[in-house]
Amino acid sequence: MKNSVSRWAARRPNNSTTKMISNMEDPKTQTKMKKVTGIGGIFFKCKDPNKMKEWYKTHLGIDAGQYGASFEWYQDAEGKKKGLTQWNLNSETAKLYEPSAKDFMINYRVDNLESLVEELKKEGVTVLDKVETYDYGKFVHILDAEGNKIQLWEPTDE
Amino acid sequence: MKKISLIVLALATSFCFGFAFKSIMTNNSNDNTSLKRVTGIGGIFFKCKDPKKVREWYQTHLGLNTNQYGAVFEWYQGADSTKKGFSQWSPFKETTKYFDPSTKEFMINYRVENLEALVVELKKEGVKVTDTLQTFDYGKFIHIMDIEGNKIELWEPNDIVYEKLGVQMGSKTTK
Repeated sequence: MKNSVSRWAARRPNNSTTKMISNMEDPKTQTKMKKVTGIGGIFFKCKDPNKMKEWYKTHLGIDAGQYGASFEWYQDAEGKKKGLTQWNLNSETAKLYEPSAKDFMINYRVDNLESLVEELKKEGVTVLDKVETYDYGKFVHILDAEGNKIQLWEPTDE
Repeated sequence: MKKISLIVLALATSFCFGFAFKSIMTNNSNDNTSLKRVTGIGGIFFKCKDPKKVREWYQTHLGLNTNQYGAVFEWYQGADSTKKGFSQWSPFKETTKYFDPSTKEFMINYRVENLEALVVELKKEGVKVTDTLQTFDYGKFIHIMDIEGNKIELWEPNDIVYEKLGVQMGSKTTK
């Protein structure tokens, strides 16, 4: 039975959650700003990234190469705007996850990173670095309430 | 209520037929060299001290539309943009048994196209399968282990039913 718990199947709505959502959208309390729009990537540590990549390629068909694999999808039903979710493995010694001690890190796609960072700072969220801009988008790193490092990404999907 | 008993029934049925499934699958020797395997990320699950607090934090600061199980990301499939796809995001309690026998802090769910055929193939390849295939309205599931002890959830989704369940619950997706 447990394994249906992880998803939203066959359960009745939780009133407190519904209330929370409507509070959030109340224009009096907060102007609605689109924040995270999707999962931009999943990264996790392993002992032997090369061996693991080989295993995932052979058995699950995930071809990661040097920089990881990209799962391609669309943002719209017309198939005009692509979206990517990156998947990669890092060695256990990777500094990328610091100061988090966790063995995984999630990248979330966001709409407007600069204004989101401003807002997060006002809200007291720990922002670990400055926004960095690359050809494929803007990045910043923050910590969640339990010390998980989060990568925020405003992608340039072209 | 009816739905819950249906799920229980589905679970019970799949338990009963577990061994039957297993023997059918292992005796079937299809050639699946061109088998399409993982097609996307179906979900990310991670352990935390206080899942409720974590869900609220992600809702407040990152705008995830959460319910008591987490959040659901909505997108359109790369192979056919007229079809929706979903990825589940869920914080779990540290004491959860759901990731066992993995001791890791996270578990990834991968979407696959033909789970039954894939399981046959994976068994032939010597991959450790930790349970029997379970079928729900919203898809088929099985769990395997990678070579470093990460438990993996494989899901052949029924996205239409999955979306309907969310709507019935009054839940919003994140997109």
